[in-house]
Amino acid sequence: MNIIKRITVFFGSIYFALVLILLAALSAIAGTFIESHTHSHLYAVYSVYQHPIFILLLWGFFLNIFLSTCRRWPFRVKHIPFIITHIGLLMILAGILYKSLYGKQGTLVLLEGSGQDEIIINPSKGIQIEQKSISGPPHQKAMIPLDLTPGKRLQAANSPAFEDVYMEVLGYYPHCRQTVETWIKGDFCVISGLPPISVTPFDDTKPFIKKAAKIQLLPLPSLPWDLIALKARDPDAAFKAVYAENYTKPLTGIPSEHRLSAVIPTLLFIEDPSKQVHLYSFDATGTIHTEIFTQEMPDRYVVYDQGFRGYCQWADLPYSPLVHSEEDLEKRKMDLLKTELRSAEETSSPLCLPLELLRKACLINSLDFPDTTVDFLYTWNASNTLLMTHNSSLKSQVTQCLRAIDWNLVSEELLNGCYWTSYILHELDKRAAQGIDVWTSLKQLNWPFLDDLQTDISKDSLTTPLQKLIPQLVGQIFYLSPVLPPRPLDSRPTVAWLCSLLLLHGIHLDAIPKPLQVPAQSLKIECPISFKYTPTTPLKKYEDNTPLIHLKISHRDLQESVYLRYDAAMNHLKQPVLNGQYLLRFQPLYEKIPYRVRLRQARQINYPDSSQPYSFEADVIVTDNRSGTPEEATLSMNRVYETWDGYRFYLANITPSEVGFVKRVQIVVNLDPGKYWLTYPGGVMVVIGSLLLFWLKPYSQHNKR
Amino acid sequence: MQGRNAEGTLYRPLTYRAKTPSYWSRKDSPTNESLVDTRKPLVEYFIQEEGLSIRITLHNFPANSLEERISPQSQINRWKKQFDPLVAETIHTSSLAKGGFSGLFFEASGLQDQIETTVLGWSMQLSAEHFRNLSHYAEEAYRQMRADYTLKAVGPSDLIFKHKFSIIEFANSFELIEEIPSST
Repeated sequence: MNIIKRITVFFGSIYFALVLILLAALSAIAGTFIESHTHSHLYAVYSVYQHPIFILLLWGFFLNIFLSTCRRWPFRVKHIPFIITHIGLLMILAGILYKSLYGKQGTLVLLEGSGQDEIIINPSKGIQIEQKSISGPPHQKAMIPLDLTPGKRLQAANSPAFEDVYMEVLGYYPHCRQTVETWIKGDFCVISGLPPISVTPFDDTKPFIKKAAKIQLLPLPSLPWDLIALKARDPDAAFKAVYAENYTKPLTGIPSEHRLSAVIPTLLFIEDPSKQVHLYSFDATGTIHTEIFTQEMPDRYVVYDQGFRGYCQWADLPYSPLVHSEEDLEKRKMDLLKTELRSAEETSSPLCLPLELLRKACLINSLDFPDTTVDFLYTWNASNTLLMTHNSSLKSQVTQCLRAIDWNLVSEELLNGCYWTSYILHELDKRAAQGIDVWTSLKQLNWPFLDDLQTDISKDSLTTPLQKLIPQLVGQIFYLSPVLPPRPLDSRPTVAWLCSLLLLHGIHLDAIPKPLQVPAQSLKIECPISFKYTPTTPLKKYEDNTPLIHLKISHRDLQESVYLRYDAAMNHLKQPVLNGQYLLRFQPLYEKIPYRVRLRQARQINYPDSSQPYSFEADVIVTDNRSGTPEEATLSMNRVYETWDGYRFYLANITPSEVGFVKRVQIVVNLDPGKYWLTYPGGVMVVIGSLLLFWLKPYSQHNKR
Repeated sequence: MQGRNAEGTLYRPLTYRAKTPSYWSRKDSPTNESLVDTRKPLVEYFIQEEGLSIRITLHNFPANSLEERISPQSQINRWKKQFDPLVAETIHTSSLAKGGFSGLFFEASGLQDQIETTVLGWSMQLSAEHFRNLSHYAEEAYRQMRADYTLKAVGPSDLIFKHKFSIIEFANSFELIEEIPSST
């Protein structure tokens, strides 16, 4: 009995109290030091304030106060202040204990217009599982607290919808880094709806050997696209190599370099060393489109079936709506030309001389001016000569039209120019038939103004003579026509003269640009978004860590293993699992409260003429779910709303701060169920007891005497 | 207040609520009349005094996709064109957001039908996040909830000025009856 008594005396003694106070002070120092060193309140909480030793310390205080009070038995009048003080302290400690067991502390996150009756418990971890409702949202949801016990099967409690769904945590990582994978996943390039293709390394020091898959992205009869995926240090260099490889192909069946060139439409994905994916695409017209995809979550993405069927990244590839065959390109160009001529005819726009000659000739013969003109240009172009010298290949109505041209409308000077132009170009045509190009021929003929031509000629090998050189040469001839010898008297206007006049005005099918100006359409391609997680060393600041779990989930015969990253703000994508039957999210736990809070409006009030906030306010409607009674309230930084049963609502945060945007607010919800009959009365008793101790001085020498 | 009926039905789901002073008079569209045409108001309120009258109208514009919606600024521009002429110095436009909608408040004075008139208008558009959440629901009531809305008070300038506070209070209290479901 003596030992028990001595132990009781010790635990109720001032010495034990001093030890406890000393330890509490040391703990507080350690907690403060840790918090300032790590900048993490949670770190201090986990390592000190929620440490079993600290909890034991609190129980020690309770025991010490309790025993020291009991030791005064039998109580006398002079003990009253002491007893009041100590009972008050015990009530405060009991209130803290009671709150930790039955109290609530959490956060409501609300967007203006929406309501919520579930508070997020922070810090806590759980897995939210969602099952798609056949009749549409809201879907069945359940929360499963995280339990890291190896082999422990986790299941949603009291949720019939999930009774056959089991989970098991296979691994837990305190912190991880997330990267987003889009078009290139590992060694494969993935486009939805197409088989994956392998990614090949590109070395800019070696010749490029193209490895392309052929895909039909547009309806037949469009050209198939090359699909190429590369890994390259310099994406631009790799792109140039591919473009050069795919650009130089003349269209099938075109004999001359004077004709249209085309590009093999190509879709090229290049992953650079930083894992960014560069998308280059060019259609058969050679129009290039580029886009870069980083490893960050894209701002915009496609959500399939509310997430149950996953998420996709997409790219819009512009392409010419033309069908890219030789004939169609030609046809399109001629159609555009006809439209232009028809429009000019309809609006009575002034036409250049050769076109006006043709228009009048068509009028005389009741022929369609645009059709006849374009037919003529087409036949001329198909002759592969600089000039047409005879009418035999022309359609009869075109010939009829040419015969009706009134050359009296053309000045003598221009007629002279026509004569000499046709003479010189005919000579060039003859030499071209022998394989001598225009440039060489002009040199051989000692054309005196060659230097003037040279300065203007593009070095671009893709430019045909009829696009640049010949119109300039024709311009020079016509310029010289007044000083050139007069044409022979017996010379008669021919079709070649008309060609000369047209060339003078730059009119030839080759000189008319390819129909690139047609508004581009876009082709959408997609790839599934997937996430790659890399466990990394945890940060000292616990709040900034994003834990990762490796989870096995099973439902009857289906089983799947997934990685889930902690989503503290609950605004990231939910992970679809088990063939899209369920959605999972690793997030804080939530708990229902008996009040539903609806946010009507939140606002930041600034000081006049300043962007400095003066106050934050939120208008809410708090509805008691038990009675259905709504009550309107305005929360602000210093205005807390409290319900009759002790739920307190504090406005914690409003985002964004700008006016005119729908606001999201965080409201902290707190319930301290014992504060009115334990904590607050306890505090009052401590104050009263302490005052009495000082006032009555029951233990002073005077009173003892 | 009811929303619009869908094509092929006259059923108008109850959609909005607001606090109105007791001295305002209310005129609902006849129940046998289709309100598919968005030019027809859902409801009209009148403040009448000494033979003069302020007309307050509510329109909504249900849309099936985000791309279909008309920007609040376009509505304001349309209202500006209803003046002949509009006194430029009286134009006041400010941004606001409430109840899940964001948009513009517009105030301007000028002549309409040769009468000195002031317009107070609110052109509001539901946030894209709310719109997407509501798009998952098939019922017409949800289509009405995600509709943009406009509130417009038109009347003689003096009378508008006299009742401006109550009109603004009415607009501030205007909201959807049902909460907008959240995605979390």
